[in-house]
Amino acid sequence: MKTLAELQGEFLAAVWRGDTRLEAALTRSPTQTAAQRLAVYRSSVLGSMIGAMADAYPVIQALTGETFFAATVGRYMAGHPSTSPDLHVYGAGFAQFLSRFEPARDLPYLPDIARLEWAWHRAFHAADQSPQDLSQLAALSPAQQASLRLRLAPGLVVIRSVYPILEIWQANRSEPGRAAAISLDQGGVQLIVSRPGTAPEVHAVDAQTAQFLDRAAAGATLGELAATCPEATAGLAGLVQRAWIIGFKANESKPTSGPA
Amino acid sequence: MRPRQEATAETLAGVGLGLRAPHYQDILDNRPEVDWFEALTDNYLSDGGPALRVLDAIRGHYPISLHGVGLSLGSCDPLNQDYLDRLSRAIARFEPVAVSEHLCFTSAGGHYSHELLPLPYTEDCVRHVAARIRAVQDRLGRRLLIENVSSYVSFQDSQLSEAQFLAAVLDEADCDLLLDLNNLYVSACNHDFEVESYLDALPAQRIRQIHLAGYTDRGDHLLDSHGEPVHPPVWSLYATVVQRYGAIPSLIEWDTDIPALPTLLEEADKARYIQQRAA
Repeated sequence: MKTLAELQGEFLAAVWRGDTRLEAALTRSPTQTAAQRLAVYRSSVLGSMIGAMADAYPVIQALTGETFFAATVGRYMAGHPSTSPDLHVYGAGFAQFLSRFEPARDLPYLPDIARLEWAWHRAFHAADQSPQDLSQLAALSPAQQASLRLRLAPGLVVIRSVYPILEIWQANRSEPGRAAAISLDQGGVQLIVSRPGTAPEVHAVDAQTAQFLDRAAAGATLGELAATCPEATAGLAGLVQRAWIIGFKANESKPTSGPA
Repeated sequence: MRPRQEATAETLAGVGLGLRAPHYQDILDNRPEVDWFEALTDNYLSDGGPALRVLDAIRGHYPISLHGVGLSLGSCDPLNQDYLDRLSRAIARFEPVAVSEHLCFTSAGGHYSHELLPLPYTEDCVRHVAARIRAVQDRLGRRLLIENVSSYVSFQDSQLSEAQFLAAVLDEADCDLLLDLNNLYVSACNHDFEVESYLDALPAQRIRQIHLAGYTDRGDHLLDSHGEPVHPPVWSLYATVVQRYGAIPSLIEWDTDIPALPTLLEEADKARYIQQRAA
């Protein structure tokens, strides 16, 4: 007799990747084999995971077609178990997986679109923003101001691509299929994904603004930012206006890592 | 307008509907006559976002119950503390009238299937899952309602019937039962057991809520699809249960091919009619 943990491990392996060990532990049925009965679960799990991935990656699905997308999710699942009860966090590694996925190599921009979609998906579920009162800032001396670090909006992500992914993404959210008319040679783009209100927003920015937000996320002080990204720093009020910067923090140790 | 049977902060009453995103706007705009809405817990555990605000708004007009799929009560993995923290926060925020979960496992070895997988019906497993339910109830400071799941396999190791297993868990965990009559009917057909003796084995005083939904007939098995109206045999089972135990608070679930809200309201009216006829 197997332990409960062994049975459960075999059940997981059966529904996730079609493992057959559990069959021997199941009762016989006059109408269905053990394999057929397990296939009911396997098919339900595949359906849930494909559905969850399609929710997160609707443009990848539009670009590749439902059949290709479903098969791709099946391949992704084989190397990526779900490690959280939260279905909304499954699929974080899809962009990296697509970058090495041979059958998708004709669509070289696919991994970058996936990164954009994942950022949008995570921004949707990110913490609500609580902007800080910035009026106190004026009372600080220039030296105090230079030592401040910036608080970025929860869920804000900077994305860079050598492809016109914003156009491809927009076209396939509204009119799937239009991407064929977009020239891949028109150059790349830097995008900011965040959720200032109810819905996530995606905006294209210049390279220095993207760099500014990356460095701010990594814990650079306002003084350091002014030295390396002077134009973006001069435009700080605009970034606050966009709700990409939602506050300041003084005299804190540098965080070990910024947002992904 | 017919007076509504009031569900209060302490108790559910009448007939509720499973809350689904396609109906958010209709509910907020038109405030349909529904006794309570059951929110799928796992959709409201994120750090923030629009779904939480919608549920705040709906909570302003209706009692809410929280129905979860992620606790993995039967698993051999440690209880997921992050999930419990998030569940605690959701309970504090939405003040649900009831909190329910499934008698199943969803995870093993730290990996999640996102599927309600059945347990072997053994005495060991009763003790295992009952201890975990007690731990969750202690952690949350409230009683859970535990739902019977539909299933497509059974284990050679099982020593108890499903009903005996369920009754033993309820007793040992001291929790309540959310009796899903669609799941019961689906499992009874798939495993060829008698519904009547199943009901006989259940502790009547612990049946605190009923779920009703539609299955799909796949020929060699019934699939718990939640994608069709409640089928006649399940309505008939419902009438039996209501006659036997009274108008237990009852809820309509619909999860795939979700129709417009009026279709669900019609299903709820059928349940109300059966409740009133039995009264």
